[in-house]
Amino acid sequence: MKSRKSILFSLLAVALILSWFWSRNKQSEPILVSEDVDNSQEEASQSNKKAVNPVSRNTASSNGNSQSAQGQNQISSSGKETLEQFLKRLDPKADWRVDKIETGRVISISGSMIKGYSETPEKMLSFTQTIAQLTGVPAQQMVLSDQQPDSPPESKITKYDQMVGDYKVFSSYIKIFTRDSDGSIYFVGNETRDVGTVDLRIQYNFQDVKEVALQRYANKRGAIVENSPTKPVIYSSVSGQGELAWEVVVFFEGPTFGRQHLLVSAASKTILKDVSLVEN
Amino acid sequence: MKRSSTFVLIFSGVSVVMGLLYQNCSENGFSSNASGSINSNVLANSTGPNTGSSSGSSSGSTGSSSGSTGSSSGGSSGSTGSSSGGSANAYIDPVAAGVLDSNCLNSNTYDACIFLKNPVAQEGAALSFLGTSGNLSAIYQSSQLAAVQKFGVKLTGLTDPSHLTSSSFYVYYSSDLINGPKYRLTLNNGQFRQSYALDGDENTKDGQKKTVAQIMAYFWLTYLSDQMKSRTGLFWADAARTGKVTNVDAYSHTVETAFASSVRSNAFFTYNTDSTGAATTRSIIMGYAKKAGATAGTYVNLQEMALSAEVYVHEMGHANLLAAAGTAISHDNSNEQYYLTVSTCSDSTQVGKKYICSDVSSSYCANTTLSGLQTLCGASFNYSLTARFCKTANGCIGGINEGQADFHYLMMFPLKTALAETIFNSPIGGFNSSNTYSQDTSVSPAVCSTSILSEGAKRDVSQVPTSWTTTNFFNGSALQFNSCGVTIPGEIHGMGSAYAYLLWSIYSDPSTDKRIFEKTFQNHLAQMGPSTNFSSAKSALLSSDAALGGKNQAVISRVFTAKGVL
Repeated sequence: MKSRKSILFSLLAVALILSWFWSRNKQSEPILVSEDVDNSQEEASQSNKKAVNPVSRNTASSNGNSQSAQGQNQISSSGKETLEQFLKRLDPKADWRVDKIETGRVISISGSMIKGYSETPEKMLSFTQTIAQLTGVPAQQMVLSDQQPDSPPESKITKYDQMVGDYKVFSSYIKIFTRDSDGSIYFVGNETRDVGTVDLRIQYNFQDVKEVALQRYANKRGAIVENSPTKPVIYSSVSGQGELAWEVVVFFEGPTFGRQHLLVSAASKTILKDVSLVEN
Repeated sequence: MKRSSTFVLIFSGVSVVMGLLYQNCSENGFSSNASGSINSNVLANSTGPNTGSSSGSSSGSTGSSSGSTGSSSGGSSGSTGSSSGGSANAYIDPVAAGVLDSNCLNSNTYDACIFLKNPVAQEGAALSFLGTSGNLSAIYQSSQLAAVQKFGVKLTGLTDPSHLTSSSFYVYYSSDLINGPKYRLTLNNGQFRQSYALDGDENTKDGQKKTVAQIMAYFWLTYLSDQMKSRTGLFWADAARTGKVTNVDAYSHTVETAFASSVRSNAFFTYNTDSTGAATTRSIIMGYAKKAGATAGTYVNLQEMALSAEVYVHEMGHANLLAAAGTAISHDNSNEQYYLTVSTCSDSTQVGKKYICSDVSSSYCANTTLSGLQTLCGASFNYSLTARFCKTANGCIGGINEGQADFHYLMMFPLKTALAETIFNSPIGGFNSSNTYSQDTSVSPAVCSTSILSEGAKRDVSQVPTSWTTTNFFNGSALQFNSCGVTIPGEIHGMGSAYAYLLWSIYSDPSTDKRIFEKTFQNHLAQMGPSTNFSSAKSALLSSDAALGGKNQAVISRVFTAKGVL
């Protein structure tokens, strides 16, 4: 009698454990955004942006490379789901942290150990594209970076670059941090941004803009251009509007030595950004 | 939140092993005073860290040369690992990196004789022969400085017994030009002990001079890298990971005689990038200060940045963040800005005027437009871009970069938390949080002078009032352009002090598992990006800690929240 009770108790315990595993696995199955996401806010934001900063140039390039961020977005405008809802669905009990900068752009997501997405490269890409989509960036602009970063012990960092056509958006990427032991995602770093409609025609090559950069530092002794990129990047200025620009690194010896990183428009040769690569 | 027990076990194992090693090291901590008699652990007689957390941690009164601890209410007392509750709470013990020996220069026991952190920190008191303390006013008396050159060390990791070269560092000094000839010390079979009095002046062009500067570079940067690798398993900037050697110019000089306040009184980290944005060359450059001598055309040496190990370590912190991020972290124009100074203009009244800008491109300067200036100034228009500012008290990557670099030296010298004691000839250092290394003398006072607001805390976490939040740092690190009537808060070194204070408050909290936090700190560097602010840095730390088992969740949350970062 005693042993029969014991067997029944054991069976019950096994059933409970199996049940728990089943529910756990079910919960950790990847949840991806399909056609039910509400990005009306992002669209409204884009509309406003375009009203303020209309793209006056013809965006239809000769090689058909011009892309519209809005046009590429496959999310249904009749959908309902927001990033917060998506995260809640991923892990209802998590204390999610969604950090934003003052403009409202989401820059990091954390607060849970997200399981089920790092099993295959396809799932990781899909997860990344979902995050991009939910933060206002066209999903298909996210591609696995050809420059994967170093990773800390027991973790892996996977980087996805934001690209429009063949061009990288400057300093714009999503990094997914996963824990080796169970593959769970513990941090999403998001530097992507909506760049609007970008004219992908190159009006000025690197040699042209190199002269502009050198002229900018003509009063410095020994100014030289140190780099020679093969492609421009897309730079998104304060307005949010992206445009093709060349990265130029200028070094000079004096009177104060310096190394400047410039982004010079490939459309107008205007200096768009000029920051020091010297830290002290 | 689920935790991996395997993960915890792995790290616990490493912690235990390292803890034992560390305990052995810390028992060797002792020091001699300037007269050569042996005192017990001078470095331990420093101020207790001021955590400022809501748990009633230490109040962190000012440490002085008399050795008051300052720790009063349950906060971290700044003791070394051997006495602070086991390996999890053991700090790095820099005293154990060598031996303080007044007879160092005459002893074959040591490969080299340098300074423990810096001369003033080592001695625990202002040094009368350095002259009046103050901003870059101390004049080195080389023979007297040589008398305290008594930290005897072994040089490890040399890949060439004749030169200060390892797999990670290439040390030299330059003269005449940044890109000019490089002078390298030739070691005597891995050793070189020479009095600072023989180091020569700024015009010396001889690798056998400026030897203390070169050895300080090699020794302390190697020690930092070794400590981080052994304690955390990771130092991002290590050449074994990056494939890149860091060049270290221990004493840099340029030909411009008017160039008194930048390279010569400052220290830098810089790098070049390839077409992918990855760093190629990486360089640390240590400047010095001088002043005009009695005879026209002659100069007297003042400060050498290279005599301060914490300055080297700070610059290496920048290299470490760059390596962790993988590519250059550019500033983000949405949360960072800088000021533009008109340098040439056909309208002479514009020359020297400053404009605060988020981007160079026209229409983003707050009180003018660049295109407007271009029209006004004509073809000769040119400008310089100088200090960077975070736009809000929630920080920006520029400030976080400075703060994490400071935290590198705080981990290395946890019982002497000031930056630049020797430069200011004061045991508590001298830089205000808003006072960068570089004094901006390029501004024409007649047009738009710059001054530093006095509210800024010194660059020393032990000097920060416990009531301060990040808003105090933000306002306290303002630059004031007097005649323009413009005050811009949030200079990045001041905001860096805020981030260093946050990190230090966590690290020094009695409840913190320091070994885990060191790993968390290293890991979180990879989570930094151009848009990172204090809130997302908090998220980075919390998530990295969670991935490591979540041991320090509570203290990280508590400290950030107490300082106004949600």
